[in-house]
Amino acid sequence: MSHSPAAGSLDPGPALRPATRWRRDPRTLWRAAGDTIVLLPDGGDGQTPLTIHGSAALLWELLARPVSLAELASELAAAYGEEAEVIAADLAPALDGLLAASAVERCP
Amino acid sequence: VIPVLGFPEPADSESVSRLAHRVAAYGLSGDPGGEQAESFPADPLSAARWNALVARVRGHRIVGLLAWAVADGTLPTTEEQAGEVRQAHVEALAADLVCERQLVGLARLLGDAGLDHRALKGTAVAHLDYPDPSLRSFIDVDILVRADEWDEAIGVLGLAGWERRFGEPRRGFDRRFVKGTVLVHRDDDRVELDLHRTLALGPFGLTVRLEDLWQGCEPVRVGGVELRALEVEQRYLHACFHAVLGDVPPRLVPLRDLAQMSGNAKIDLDRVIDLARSWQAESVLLRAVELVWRTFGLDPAAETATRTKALRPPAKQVQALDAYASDRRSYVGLCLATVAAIPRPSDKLRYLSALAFPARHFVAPRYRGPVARWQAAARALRAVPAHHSTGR
Repeated sequence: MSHSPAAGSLDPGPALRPATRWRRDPRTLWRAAGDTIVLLPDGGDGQTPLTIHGSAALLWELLARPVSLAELASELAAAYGEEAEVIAADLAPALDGLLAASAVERCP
Repeated sequence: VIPVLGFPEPADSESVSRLAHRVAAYGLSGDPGGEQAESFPADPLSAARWNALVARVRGHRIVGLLAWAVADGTLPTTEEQAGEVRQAHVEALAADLVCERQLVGLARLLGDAGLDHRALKGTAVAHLDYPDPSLRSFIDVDILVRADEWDEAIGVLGLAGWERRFGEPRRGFDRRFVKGTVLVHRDDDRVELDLHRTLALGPFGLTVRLEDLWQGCEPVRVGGVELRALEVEQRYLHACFHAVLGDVPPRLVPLRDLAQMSGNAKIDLDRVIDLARSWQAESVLLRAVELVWRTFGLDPAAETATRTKALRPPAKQVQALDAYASDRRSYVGLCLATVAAIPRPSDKLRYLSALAFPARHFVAPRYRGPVARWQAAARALRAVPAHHSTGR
């Protein structure tokens, strides 16, 4: 789940574009087991569930509604007592990874 | 059990069984951490008892409830045990999602072919009757189709790669007489599809008024797709069937389903009883509620308990129930009870002749050879007159 924008690209990548809003792909099946989320996106081989833990599980909770990177970073920064900029830098590859797995989608 | 002379106590002891029952009842009171805490041990279990408990909980498919009791601190564990139950829960949920993905695809497939269907048991009950679907696991996909569209459904599924695990004894047998059939995908047999035409095998499956099952539904949204489940009263009766007409002894999960649904204010108990009467299944409802109340020690003054206790099922229903639940339960016994429940003589004959003279593809996976098959057929035919006279 680490798909950072290509080095040297002028486009910062979908996760870092300020206008991009994210949400769970409604086709993704999921369950919560404590602070672990088990996901089964619809796509690819489709039959291998993924698990995400800890802060990523909170990220999943926040993705219940369309939300921007800045809003996510702000919420998570408040929850973990970190700087929003630091969180945002970590979030971008996580979101790209979830997008690559078809677990989340960008909203129009 | 008291250890003697240093021998370890039997791991799978009665006390482990009782503890599994408490796990299965966990959270029913609405105050799981408080009221029920006394009934759990004060200290972590020994490794042997813990392993026995986890094995039992997995077998009864109630890992989610165990994970809940452990996460709440109601069931004390070592760190290692807590990690083990978290892992077991994640594995169970991953398996649930794989089944659920298949269900969504199959519902779409049947819907695109214009075939009406209902999601039964697992996914439907987990999403509609539990506060969190992660508490209710399952191991297969259960779908109901209309009996008069049975052959079309088998055809559509066949084109998509789903094949029967076993053939039917004669063409048209399944669509008339059976609960359903198990199919697996030819490229991946990890998930079984239990395709139903009715809600139980044997005589009680034949007296379910199938048209009732299609008069309404409860939608459940899964993976962005709206599935149709049975209405809650029908789900309740189906859980009763599952609890007392299925495994002997019954698994804890259908008992928990019933206890869970019994606390649902949406359930119209009058309608449940009317349906049970209409389906000639009052004995099933009565026995299932008795079993659930006894197993979980629920309040005997609860309306569900008192209303069902007042039921007086006809003797022939009680007799039919014995074919499932008694120690004498056997395939032949259930076949004979089924014959008694088939209304038309011509259908009785069709049923018996199909079992006595089945097609080759039906015989091969089930019997060691022609002699074994004829012995079974002879047993069935010899005993017909005695059961035939009971005439359900």
